[in-house]
Amino acid sequence: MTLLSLESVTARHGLLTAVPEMSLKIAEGETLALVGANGAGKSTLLRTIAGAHPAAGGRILLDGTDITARPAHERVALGLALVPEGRRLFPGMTVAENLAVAARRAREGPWSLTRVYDTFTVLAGLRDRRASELSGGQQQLTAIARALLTNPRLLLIDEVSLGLSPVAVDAVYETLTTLDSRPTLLLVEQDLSRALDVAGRVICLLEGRIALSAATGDVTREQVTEAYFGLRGRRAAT
Amino acid sequence: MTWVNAVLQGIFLGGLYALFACGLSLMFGVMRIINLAHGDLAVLGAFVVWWAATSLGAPPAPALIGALPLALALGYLLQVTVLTRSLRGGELTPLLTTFGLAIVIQNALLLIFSPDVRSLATVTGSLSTGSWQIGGLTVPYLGLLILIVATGVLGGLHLVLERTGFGREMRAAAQDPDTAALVGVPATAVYARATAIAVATATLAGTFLAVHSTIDPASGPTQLIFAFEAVVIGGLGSLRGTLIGGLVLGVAQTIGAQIDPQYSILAGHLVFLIVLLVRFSPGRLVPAA
Repeated sequence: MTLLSLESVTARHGLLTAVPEMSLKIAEGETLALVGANGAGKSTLLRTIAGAHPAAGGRILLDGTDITARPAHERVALGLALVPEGRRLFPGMTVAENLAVAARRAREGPWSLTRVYDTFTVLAGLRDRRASELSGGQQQLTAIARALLTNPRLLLIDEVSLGLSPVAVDAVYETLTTLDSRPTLLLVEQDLSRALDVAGRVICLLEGRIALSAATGDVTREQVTEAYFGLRGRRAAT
Repeated sequence: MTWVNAVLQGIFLGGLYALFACGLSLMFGVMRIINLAHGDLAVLGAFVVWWAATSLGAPPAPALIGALPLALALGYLLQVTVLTRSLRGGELTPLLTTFGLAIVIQNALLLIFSPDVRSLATVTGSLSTGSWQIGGLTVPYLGLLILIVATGVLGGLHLVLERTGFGREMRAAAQDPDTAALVGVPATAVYARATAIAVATATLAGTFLAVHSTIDPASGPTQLIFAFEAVVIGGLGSLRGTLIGGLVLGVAQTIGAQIDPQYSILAGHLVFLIVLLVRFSPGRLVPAA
């Protein structure tokens, strides 16, 4: 069943078109990795889906409901959550407060504060620590936990491993891949190997357009790399 | 003892300034809006209470309690209808919007109530003039009441912001409104509540001013200046700092008056300027929180 559907979605930064008429479908339960070079339009696309950036054209449908004109907080209530690039925790608030903000208006669902602390055990010991005092990995886990607390049907994670140490990246991915009640995932990842390991499908963006879309089992790292650098013919979006 | 008494009177006066500054500080802390109509909203609230007390014959306390929900509603509507739109126009637009609002309120009050000076002291009996004499110190009933109310309001609001879900949402929207929206917080509604609270505290402060001294349609800007000075002295956007800022301003004024009565206001302004120089000195462009 299609959970998210983009129909010719366009996103702009001023006069620059970052994402031109993107069409894409994500099935419920799927894990989709979005890869591409800097400036390919990955973050803009995620922010547009989440409502943090306005769509300049096209339609965004969540489970058949047109959410294109809905503000970000209403999309959260409908089951969309974004872990933004740079984590964007509330720096002056503690870990517990960051999580409590998300839990206050959460949808009905499997994730609660208790369950988050049981799953993200490292956060339990950091409850009273200010977000600004956390390491990058701890911040990323807090940001993911915060997003999960809204009980999303579709979780968007922008730049999962950017700026994190290899150990922290391992910890974040281990948590992500072993989650019970994992929502549908759309993640932006610079690390191709990680993306291919975790996702069931990979989409490579080049200048805002889909250069490659395939099941991760059907493509090699070399093919994705070629698409990444624009060295191969573009395939039609699927 | 005279100097100690001057400091004590300054603390009581500072309570009134802190109460005035409370809403200004809250709106700046949450939305980064400097509400230039804050003083006029306070005077508007005071006029409503004065009208209810003198024209309807309502005792001042019930009149004030009746005016507070109206103030909350006015603040909420103001945010939803005017300020939310002006916030989209950049940093200067709310400044111009609230400046315009201040002029509208002043002229509306002038039209309705005339330029005459009014006071609630006539209907509050000994509250406005009575005091206790304790070991050579004067403790005015009204000064003590205002200080207790100011401490209660600012302390209560601080607790609400720190300990409640509503307060956490307000702090989250204040720190990063875009990210707050991404975790489901409707920034517009949170801002409207903040403005509602700010206008209600302004009404409270305006009413105490009308009991303490007098009000007229042009009183707002003066109160805005004192409130602004208290907010800056205490640290922009900090409620604890606002209370301290109000008290420092009050004490500075009474000590100035103790030296020479004409130095009262000047002493407060001087303290404000010194704090401004320290906070915004070339090496510290970012104000200390």
